Amino acid sequence: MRDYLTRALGVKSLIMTTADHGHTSSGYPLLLATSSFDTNDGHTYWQHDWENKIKAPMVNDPFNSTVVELSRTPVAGKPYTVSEVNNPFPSDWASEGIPILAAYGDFQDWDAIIWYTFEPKASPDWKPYIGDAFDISLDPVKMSQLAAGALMFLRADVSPANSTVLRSYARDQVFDRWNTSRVSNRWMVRQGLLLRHPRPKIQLSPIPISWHGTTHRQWPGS
Amino acid sequence: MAGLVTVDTPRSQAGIGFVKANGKSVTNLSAKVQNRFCTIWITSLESEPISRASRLLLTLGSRVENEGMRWNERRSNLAEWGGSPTLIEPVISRITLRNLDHAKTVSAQALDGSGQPTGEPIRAEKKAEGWIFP
Repeated sequence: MRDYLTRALGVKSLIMTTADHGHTSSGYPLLLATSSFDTNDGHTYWQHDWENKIKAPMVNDPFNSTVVELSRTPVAGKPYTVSEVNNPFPSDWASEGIPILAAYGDFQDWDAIIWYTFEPKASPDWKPYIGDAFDISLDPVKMSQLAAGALMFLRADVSPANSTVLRSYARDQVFDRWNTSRVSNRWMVRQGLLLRHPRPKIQLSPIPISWHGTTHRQWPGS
Repeated sequence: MAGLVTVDTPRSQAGIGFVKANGKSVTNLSAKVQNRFCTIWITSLESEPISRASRLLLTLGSRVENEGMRWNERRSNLAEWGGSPTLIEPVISRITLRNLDHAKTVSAQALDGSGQPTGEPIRAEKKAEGWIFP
C-alpha cells in the first residue's frame, strides 16, 4: 500500500500507519509491521469506560499511566504522534490528564498530542452538560487546560530528555508466546519490557518534573 | 498514597495531584490550597520566563460533574448521568507569586468561558514571601 501511494500515485506526505492501542497485551507484533513507515502513532486512555474500574488518580499509579503506555511505541529517529488520548469523564481526578501528558510529551520529545475528542454540539437545543465519557468541549476544566497545555507542549517548555534509552528486539522475541500472552505480567508488557530478557538499566537525567509519593513495584522473579 | 507531579521550568510550572498533602512549591508559585486534589498551573504568555513576563496564565482545575449526577456504589461509573449545568469544584487557595524580577504591581483578572475578562481585577499584596493574592 505504501509503495502504491508513494510510487504509483506520487504521494509526498508522510505515511502514517494504524495506531498502537491494545494495552492489555504486547504491542510488538503491530510495531514490527508499522515501524518501517514514516511515523508511528499511539492511543490510550486512563481507565477507559470498558475497564469498569473504580476511578483512581493516575498520580498514584505512574507505572500504568498514559505516559508509560504511550512510551512503548515511538521508533528511534521517526516522528511520534498520539492521536487519541483522554482521562475520561466521570472521574474525580481528570484534571491531572492534560498537564501531565503535555509535560511528559515534551520530555519524551513527541510530535503531537490530540485529545479525543472535541465535539462541539451543533444543535442550539443542546444543554450545557458533559454528554459522554470523551467529549471535552463541554468540560470547563479540560477546555481551560488546553490553552496552557498547548503553550507548554508546543514551546517545549519542558526540555527533551538529555539521554535516550533504546531497545531493540529480534523477530522471535516479538512473537515469543509468553511475551505476547495476556496472562503475562501486564505491567511489564505495557512498559515494553520483556521479562525473559535482561532488565534494561535506565539512567534518568536531571529533569524538572518528578513523581512524588509513589511506591516502587517489585519486579516479578527478582 | 498521595501522588503529585510537579513541573518547574522557566515558562511553565505546575503542581498536579495531591498538592495539599505534599506541600510542595515551584520556583515562582506557592499555594496554600484547601482542595484534596487539584491542578495549579502557571504559564508565561510571552517568550519571557515567568519571572520576567508581563502576562501570565494561571489555570486552576479540580472536579467536574453534571448537575444531578450520581455515582454507582463501586464508584466505577455513574448510576445517574445527570444534566445541565456542568458544575466545577472551585480550587480554593492562597496563591503567592514569587521571584518576579521587576514587578511593580501584580493583579489577576478572571476570564470567562471564551477567554474574555469578567469581574474586577484582584490586586496582589507585596510581602516578604512574594506577591500574595487575598
